[in-house]
Amino acid sequence: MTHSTLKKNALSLLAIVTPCLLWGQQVAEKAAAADSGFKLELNPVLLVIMVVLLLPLYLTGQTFLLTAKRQLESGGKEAGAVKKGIGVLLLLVFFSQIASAQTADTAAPASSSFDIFTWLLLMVIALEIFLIALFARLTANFFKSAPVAATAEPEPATSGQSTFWRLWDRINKFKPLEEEASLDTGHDYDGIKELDNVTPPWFLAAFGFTILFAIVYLWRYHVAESAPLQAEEFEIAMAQADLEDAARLSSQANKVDENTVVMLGAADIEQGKKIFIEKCSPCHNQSGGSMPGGVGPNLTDDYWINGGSLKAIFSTIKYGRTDKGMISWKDQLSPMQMAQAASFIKSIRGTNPPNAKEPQGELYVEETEETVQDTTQVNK
Amino acid sequence: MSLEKFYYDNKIPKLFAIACIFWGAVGMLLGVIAAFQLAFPALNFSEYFPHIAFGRLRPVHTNAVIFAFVGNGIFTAIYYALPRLLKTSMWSNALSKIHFWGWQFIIVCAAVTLLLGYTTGKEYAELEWPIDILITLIWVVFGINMFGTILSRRERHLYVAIWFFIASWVTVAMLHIVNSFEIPVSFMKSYSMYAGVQDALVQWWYGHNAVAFFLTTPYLGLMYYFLPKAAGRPIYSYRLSIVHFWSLIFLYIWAGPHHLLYTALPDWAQSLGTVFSIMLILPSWGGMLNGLFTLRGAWDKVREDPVLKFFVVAVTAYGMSTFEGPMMSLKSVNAISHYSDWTVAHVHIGALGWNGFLTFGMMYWLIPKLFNTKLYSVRLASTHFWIGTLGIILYAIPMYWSAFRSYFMMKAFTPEGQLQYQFIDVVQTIIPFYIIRAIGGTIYLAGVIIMVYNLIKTAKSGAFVEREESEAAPLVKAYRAPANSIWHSFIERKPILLLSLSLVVVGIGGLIELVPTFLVKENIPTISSVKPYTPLELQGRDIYIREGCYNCHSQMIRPFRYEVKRYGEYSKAGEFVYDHPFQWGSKRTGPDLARIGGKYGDSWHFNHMLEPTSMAPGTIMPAYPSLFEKDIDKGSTLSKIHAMRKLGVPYPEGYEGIAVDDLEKQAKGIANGLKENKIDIQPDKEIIAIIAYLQRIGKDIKLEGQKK
Repeated sequence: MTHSTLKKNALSLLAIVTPCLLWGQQVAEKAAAADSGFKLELNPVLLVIMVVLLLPLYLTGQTFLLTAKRQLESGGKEAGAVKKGIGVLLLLVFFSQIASAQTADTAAPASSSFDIFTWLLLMVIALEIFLIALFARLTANFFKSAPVAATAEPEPATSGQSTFWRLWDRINKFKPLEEEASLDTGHDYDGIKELDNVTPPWFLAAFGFTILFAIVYLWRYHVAESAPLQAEEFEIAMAQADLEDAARLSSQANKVDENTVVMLGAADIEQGKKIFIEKCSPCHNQSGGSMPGGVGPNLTDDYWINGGSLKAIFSTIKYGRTDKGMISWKDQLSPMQMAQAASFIKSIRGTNPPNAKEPQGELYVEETEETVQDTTQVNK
Repeated sequence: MSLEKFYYDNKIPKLFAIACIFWGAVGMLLGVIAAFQLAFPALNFSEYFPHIAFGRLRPVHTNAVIFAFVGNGIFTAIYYALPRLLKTSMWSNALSKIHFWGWQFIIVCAAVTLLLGYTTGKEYAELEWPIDILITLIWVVFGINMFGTILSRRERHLYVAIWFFIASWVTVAMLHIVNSFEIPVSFMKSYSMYAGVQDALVQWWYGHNAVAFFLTTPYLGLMYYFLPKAAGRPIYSYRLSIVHFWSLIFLYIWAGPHHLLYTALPDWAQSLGTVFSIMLILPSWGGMLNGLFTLRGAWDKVREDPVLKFFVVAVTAYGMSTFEGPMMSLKSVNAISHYSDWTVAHVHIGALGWNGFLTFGMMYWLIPKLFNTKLYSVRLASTHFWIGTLGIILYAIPMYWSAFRSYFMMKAFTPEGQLQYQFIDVVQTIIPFYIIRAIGGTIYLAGVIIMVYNLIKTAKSGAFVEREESEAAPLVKAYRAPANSIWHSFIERKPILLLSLSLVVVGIGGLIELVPTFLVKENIPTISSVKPYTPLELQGRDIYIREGCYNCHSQMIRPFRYEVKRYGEYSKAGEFVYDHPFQWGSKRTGPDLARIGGKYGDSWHFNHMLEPTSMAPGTIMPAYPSLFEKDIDKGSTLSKIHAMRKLGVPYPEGYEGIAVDDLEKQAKGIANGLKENKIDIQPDKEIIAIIAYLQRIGKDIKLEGQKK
């Protein structure tokens, strides 16, 4: 395979992969566009930096390409370096595509941003800076080496090697291929010979390091016990979460429980409806009336299995009636959200949706009018 | 000293090569189908064929690729290389034939029984006890044939490839036998001898080392023969071979527990799994380095020769995988990767890259040799190379992506301290990635089909060489090693010593990890409220295993806030003492079920099994309509209870007499409860048993006020 076909293949490969991923990402975003409250302020800033950096990157890349082309025309001496530079340029194409994927990705759904995008952005930025520096250096090298190449024609054989490859040979303790005969072990298995090259020094060093790592790891966790094992790690995380919970619960709206819950206003009921459709409708139907043979009872009639007061409904949502199939929602909904859902359920009483389930439980008669309070004013 | 004449047989390698390619294509096709099933649940065709639902198809795919594709690949290499490396013919042509046909028979049995639902429920060891015995027999036949050949050799020293073949043979034998201890209940049904944590440890000691000693070390042997042959270059470093061979087989065996990080496995065992995985990086890389450095001075050939191209990518994929694996064994990384698509991507880099490409390279080199001709089309082979590479990339990247996405979604909390996403949200998010992955797999398979065409054309253009003549002098008894020979050459002259040393070296890690877990009681603290399953629940559990639910659902809640919040109290070692086999699972395509008991009502489960989307809109779980038609196999209850008691499950003496009555009573109770919800179902249908089991899982220690 010649170099150009290789290049072509690599390019087409990238061209195919990147849009596929982009597409997947976008479809995924749509699916995941659940409503959430929090946004990461950092990402837009990083995004801007990343896009701005694309300009100098483009310029240095172009400059390099131009000089490289001129260099190629002026003589084949530097062809190796040019090839390497073009390789880097290919990388650049790849990463700029990723970068554009990133742009599309972060721009579209500001609602569901995770730390990973921050990291990705940071990585892309770091890469951009690295490439800018690299192109600048490579271009500078051309200018430096150009006159030298013209004058000093016959150089020793090693000059064909770049610094990288010389270093590579040194860290692996490679013997030159010409000296191979001296390394022959004399083994011959069905024509396969074996050399007696030394194990690369870095290999042994790294192996030693992993053994050291193992000793330190075991010592820390099981002898010194200075690192937390999984049960302790869990306790720490839960204690932290408890602290956060306590801080949150001290805020007004979320203090609601089954004793203090009150009927909420229209805006909250609208929120409650959304929650109901998302979480409750699988068993109670979108109308709240369930259906004949449905899993959950009808919530629009006057008959209630676990009590029809707002407080009772809140309590049923919160703790569930697992013996009857109603699950507890307190881990998935906040107290405020449960109050909104309960208020919504109260609000659909008597709506008589078609094809509802027959009454179950006892007749519930409203005792007193429950006070209405609109928390949306307080919240927003 | 007179030269002896002998023949290298090519018929058996040819048969194994054909079988390897055929089963490879079949196994990959099944993988592609399973991949599309995840994205489009309708492809499970559950209304018509319960046999090809994902839960049953996936084990057929994994078994086919590991034991049929790679297995036959190993045997192709051994039956071709071993005689040539030892200057002798295979010891017994009859045993070779028994080995070949026996192995193919096992594969067919495996495929049929797995699709019929006969499974032990232990990953990569799903085959039931009669097939386990058959495997053992054929493996012994193979071993005798291999050692007969080695002992009748005309080459004094064993080449490194043969070290790997020997170590692989003895270790696979050990793993297979120990992990397959099971007590038969009936023909084609057994219970694992081990329970819960112990079963998990034995299983992953096996599972991890099936990767090590079936997918890796024999293929290193393959590489050590075919790579220098194809490149025409000497092996880079004999010393490196020695270092990495012994360190690799010694360290590999310890790393099994890294499949069980953050589970109920004791901490010390988990830590051993982590540190030995880290120490494994360099020994693994030794193989890669020796492979790549052997190509020093032949890189110009690599550009032209598709065989070498495949080898280079295979060895590189091996290096990547063996670095990635240890990284995934670090606890913090494992928290992300475990149960996720990351693991799936990781194994496919290994399987598609290392095993697949090494096999393809070998075939492109070997088939022309066997048919004494040239490869039909180098261009097509190059095309295959590029298509295969693209397939791997399209497979792996979406899986990595989806793994990170789902991790960050799973652990996301709202400012109110609630989980931000439902499990179903995560599932919906990653479906597009499943589609891209399936396309990647299809592309890879397309490459294989191109290869099949190319190889058939090659074979047709030549004439099959049934055997090759060769001659060599027999070994003389008296031998004095040259003064400058290194100590290791002594072992290379003594195959039985090499075999024994290998067994000792691989035995150490297993013993140190397994024995204390079985003998020291503190490792699995007793929970007194944990009771044996009722007969109905036991029947339900067997249906759960039969349908392969563990392929998508774990039963192991890890001690993380976001898991405890989502699923309930994290799992404790003492909860699983009656679980023969354990069902912790390794991948969460669906939610964890360790605390499913009592979470939903019976009617929810009823409707969900009948039509999953009715209860969980957007789910990709297939329906299980057959459970509503089939009757519970009550007749087996007696022998099941009996077998369980033999395994130490404390059913009262004489319980067999009333077990069926108990089963019917509990089933009636559930059916009556469903009737109240206007659901009519006979109490002897399988759905009742599975509901009973699901409603029991994780309930025994449900604590009050544990939820935060």
